[in-house]
Amino acid sequence: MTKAQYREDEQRWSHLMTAAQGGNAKDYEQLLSELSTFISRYLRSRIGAHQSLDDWVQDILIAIHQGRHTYNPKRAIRPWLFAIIRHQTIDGMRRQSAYQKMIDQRVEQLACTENSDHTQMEEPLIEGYLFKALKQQHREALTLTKIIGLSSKEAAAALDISEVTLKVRVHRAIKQLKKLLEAEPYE
Amino acid sequence: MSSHQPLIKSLAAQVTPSKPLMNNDLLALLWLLGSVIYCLVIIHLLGPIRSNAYQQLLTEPRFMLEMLVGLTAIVLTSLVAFRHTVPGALSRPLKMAANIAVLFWIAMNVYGLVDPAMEPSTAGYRHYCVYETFIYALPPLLIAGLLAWRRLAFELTNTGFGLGLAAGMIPAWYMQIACMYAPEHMLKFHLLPAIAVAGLGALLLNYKGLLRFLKR
Repeated sequence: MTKAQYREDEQRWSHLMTAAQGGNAKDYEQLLSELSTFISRYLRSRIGAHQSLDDWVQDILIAIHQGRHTYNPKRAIRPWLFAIIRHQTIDGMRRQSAYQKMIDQRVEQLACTENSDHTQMEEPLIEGYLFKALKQQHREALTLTKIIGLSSKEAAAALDISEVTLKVRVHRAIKQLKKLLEAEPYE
Repeated sequence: MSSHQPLIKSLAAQVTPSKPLMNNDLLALLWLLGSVIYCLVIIHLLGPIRSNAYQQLLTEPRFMLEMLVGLTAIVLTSLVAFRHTVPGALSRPLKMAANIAVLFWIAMNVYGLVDPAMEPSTAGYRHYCVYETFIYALPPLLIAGLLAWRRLAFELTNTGFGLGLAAGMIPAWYMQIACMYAPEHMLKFHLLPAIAVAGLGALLLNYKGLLRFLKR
């Protein structure tokens, strides 16, 4: 993204959000449409394309809607927007319950198979470069519990480590991912 | 057409004009000013003040410094806590400055255990200062919580802790003037209740997290 484009987006979004705060539904719809595309692309490139991504984008759009009155038109919109994106993404990873239900069947299969190939399930995730930046053991723990939806016990058994170690790895992975997201430029 | 279009259309249909928020820092300072005035008035009304406290401020430079550092810690903590209530408003340097100020204030009092700023004395001792500090901090905490509730705080525990700490530190700080001077007494009976108020603030704002924890 060029500097000019960055500035142009910044000004347009800020203008649209100010109009939305004034009650302009048309401008608000345009803003949310643009942001939805931008957020999807942003998350896909950082975290990877997996099934929960659309849910996270929806959560972020709802959070933007609920917090639109907190945006100060005198300030840049990106720090405000990215704070929402980061929080909702990390929060979405922590929850994952809906996704877990969807893949229950797959989970059982994996838990029963001693020599399962996790890399196959991880494949869409590791497209995201922030996931790639995590340590292998952290990525595995996060993928199995928060993305694939295994219980701690099942994931620990699959990785042949204790449940406590797994929980520590998951905690560290989320912390690291949060740090990486925070260190990202507003682009 | 993106898969989010129905949601976007529905959100856009709900949009109504919203009042712009008051500037965070201004709101924090107004809240702080109101809380300090309230605490000073109630402390003066409900008990005697150490008779020579104001004179000691002028004659004991280290005591004056302790009070100034305490005030700085309160101001910075308030600013940080209120900035927590708007996404992206809090900067890392401000957060760090607030943490350093609070730790420095505590460290000064801990150092006072071995080398007090002035001669410790029981003059001006208030019998219920520990409860006073806790109870006087509750109204400012509740008001801060209500103000935060209308905004968009994501890190509820941190926000609540910050608001509680700011609210708790105000009476704790003024008790240095109103109550007896002794670093040990300050740490045990003024600062600990302030930290308890901070914990209460975290629980109040993140009560859903508390319920989840209790259900486990």
